[in-house]
Amino acid sequence: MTTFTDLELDRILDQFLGEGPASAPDRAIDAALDRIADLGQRRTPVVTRRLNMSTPVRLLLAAALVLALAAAGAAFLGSRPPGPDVVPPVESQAPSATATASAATTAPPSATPLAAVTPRPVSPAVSVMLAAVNRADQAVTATKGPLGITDADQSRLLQLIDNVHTALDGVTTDPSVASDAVDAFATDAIARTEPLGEQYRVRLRTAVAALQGAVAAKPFVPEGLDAGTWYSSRFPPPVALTLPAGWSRGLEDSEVLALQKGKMTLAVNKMATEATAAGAAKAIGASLTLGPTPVTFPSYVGFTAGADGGGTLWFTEGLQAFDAPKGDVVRVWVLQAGAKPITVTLSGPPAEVKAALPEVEKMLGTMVVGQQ
Amino acid sequence: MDRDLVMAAQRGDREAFAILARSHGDRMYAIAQRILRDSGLAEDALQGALVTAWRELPALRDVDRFAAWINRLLVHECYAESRKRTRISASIRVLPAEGPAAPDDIHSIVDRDELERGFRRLPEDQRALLVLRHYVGLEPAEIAETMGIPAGTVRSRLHYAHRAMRAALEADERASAAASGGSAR
Repeated sequence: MTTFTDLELDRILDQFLGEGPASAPDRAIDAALDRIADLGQRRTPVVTRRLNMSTPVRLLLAAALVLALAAAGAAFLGSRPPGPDVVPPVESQAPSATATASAATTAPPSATPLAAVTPRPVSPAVSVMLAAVNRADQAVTATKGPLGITDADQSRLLQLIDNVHTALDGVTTDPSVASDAVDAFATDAIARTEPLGEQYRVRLRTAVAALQGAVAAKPFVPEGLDAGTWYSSRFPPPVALTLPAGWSRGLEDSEVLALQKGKMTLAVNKMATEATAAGAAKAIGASLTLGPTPVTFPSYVGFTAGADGGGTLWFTEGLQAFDAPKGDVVRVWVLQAGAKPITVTLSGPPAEVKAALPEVEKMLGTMVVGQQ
Repeated sequence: MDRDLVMAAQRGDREAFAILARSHGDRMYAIAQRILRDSGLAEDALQGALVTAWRELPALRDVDRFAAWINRLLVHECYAESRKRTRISASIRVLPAEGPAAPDDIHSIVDRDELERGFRRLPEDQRALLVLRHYVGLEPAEIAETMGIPAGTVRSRLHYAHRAMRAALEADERASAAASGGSAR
């Protein structure tokens, strides 16, 4: 058997760890810079010069500082009129000299926890653009579902949507210009719907209204998410979801977008298996507790199924397998959204999943899937 | 140049910080990707480290140690991301690909998959030390400065990390020899 010398092992590790990317994706640094755009710095007194003092002198100075702060605090409190919301100061024992010195040199806590910082969109213009294009895709997808329109009508609507794409092409530097392009499209699109039936006109007008009111979505960030619309930047195609408060982004890569709330995980991925009810049943396994049954959202059609945890639930395109933990329950939606079906999986403790179902279904109703 | 930029960024100059972020970002991402073995997690770690760096920069006393300081933030972000990934994907497994991997230089000595498996089995702090030692090329004393731990601790952990990698490689070699029924080389 081979035994490696230290030198050989060093060489092996040098070579092994030398492999891999040498540069960061621009989006990673852009996203970080965007997150700090509204973020202040933690201001602490920067000690530029250390005073050469003896310990007793330092302790005396520290004690004097505490006394001065206490006096200032008392004067401030004394100057305020008492009110019901004023909490009386709690009397405390005099701090020890050691603790006093420590307190005098310890940095004050951050005013705003990092997790509470609200990120801004990477670029307002790009956000408007993405939202508009996604809404346009939504209009196309909608025509394939509940409306059941003819191929000829669908082609005409697709042409209208192409017009949006053309109008917005390259318009990514100024959100107002992008909005103007949407408005120009709206006028044109509504005029073109006249030869269509009333139901198509209503549908397209609704889509156009959505375009005009496109919200500025933000890319998912690896932390708690504020209520609002967020879209995936690493998981293709871009998937936008409007979330209530309480969700956080757990994981996002090219295979899966995983959101979390409590002990639940909501995972979005592209299905590797055939997007049919039979295919889903095969992928999910035999222990279905529900369905698969057809499901219709405002923009997507598909089917849903339920299962108990403990078995393999799905495979991603990259052949990652998801095994729901035993004891959890799983609810899965397979939605025809674009060229490839999107699978959404909610898993977690039974009580949490049951309570969250209305909220999740509402979220899925807002889901917009961009072009793949 | 870094010194002036760091001092400007400490005063709240976002443009200066952006230049620093872009000049250090590639190296930081490369380090994070090698520790975490996952590009998505590495992006998150990079973002987290840069955001923390911006917030905490005024407290950096020695501006000449900016690079070591920001790398320390990055390594700690890597630890956090690694724990997050473990929580989320405990139930996500990658199916084994069929067929042998493409040959490369390392194959002349050991199988790359063996290295990958062995490396992934290491605790995150040992992975970080190996990356700083073998990818960044830092000496133990420099690693100690970056990580904020004593140099003796660095040497000790590096020793254990090397020993673990050696054991992993040799164990895998024994296993493949047993599976093939042949003798190990």
